[in-house]
Amino acid sequence: MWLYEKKLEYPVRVDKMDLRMAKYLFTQYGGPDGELSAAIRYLTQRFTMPTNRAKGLFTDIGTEEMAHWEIIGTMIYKLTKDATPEQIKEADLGGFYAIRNKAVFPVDSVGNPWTASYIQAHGDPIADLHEDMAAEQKARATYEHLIRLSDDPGVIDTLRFLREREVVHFQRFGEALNYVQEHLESKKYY
Amino acid sequence: MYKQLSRPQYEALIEIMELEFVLIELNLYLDTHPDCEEALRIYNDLAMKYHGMIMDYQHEYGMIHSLSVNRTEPGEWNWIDSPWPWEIEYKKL
Repeated sequence: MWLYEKKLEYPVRVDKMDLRMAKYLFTQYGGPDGELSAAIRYLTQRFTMPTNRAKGLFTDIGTEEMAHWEIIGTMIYKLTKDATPEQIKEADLGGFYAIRNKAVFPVDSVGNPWTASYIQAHGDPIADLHEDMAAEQKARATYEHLIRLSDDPGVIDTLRFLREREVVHFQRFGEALNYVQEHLESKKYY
Repeated sequence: MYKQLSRPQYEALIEIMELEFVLIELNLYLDTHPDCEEALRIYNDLAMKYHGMIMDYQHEYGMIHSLSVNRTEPGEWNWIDSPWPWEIEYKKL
């Protein structure tokens, strides 16, 4: 189960409304390498992990990803909440607004809805761990693209925090991969 | 709708968020280094401090952890009234 903590993992400071940036940020909210994908990926794969270290790590990183999803949602909310329909039209978000007003809905930055096809789970810990390490690198790259697209110091600060977390998760998944590999080797009989 | 917290509440919240982040980081580290006595010692020291801070904060400003004791005068469920994280105005850098 999960319990809610009524706080963010990291503050979200936004200087001014920026619809264009909000649109770009949707990729980390409902896009392929976004935080929702990350959370669902790890929390799905954990069931078939062979060691307690890996089960713990997948549970804890998956949980942290949900906190990151909340951070991205908060950024989008703050960047869009004061927009008028006219400004939304100018930012080319009229198609989104027509359906959902200012709902923070899991789509990518060009409007594709989130889908489980973004993630994988093979029931094979080595394959899954490699996917997860790749996913962390793809998310790191995406954050670097987003940082280059923003001129808001608050937004950049939060994006830098999220980017750094991808690096740490990559490191921890790498350690888990080594341990799981040793564990599987030790169980082989010839 | 947008909530500017009082200075003492804001500072207490940020201090909790900072400490919680250290605990999250140590938690992940311990998942892959469960035999590291130093990390475990730091984790336990900070976890004790963290829970004390949460109790003090909630006593003063209302619930931020679900399933906590809900103390208010007069009796009133304050979980819904303490500020929602996306509505808090965090100070500019």
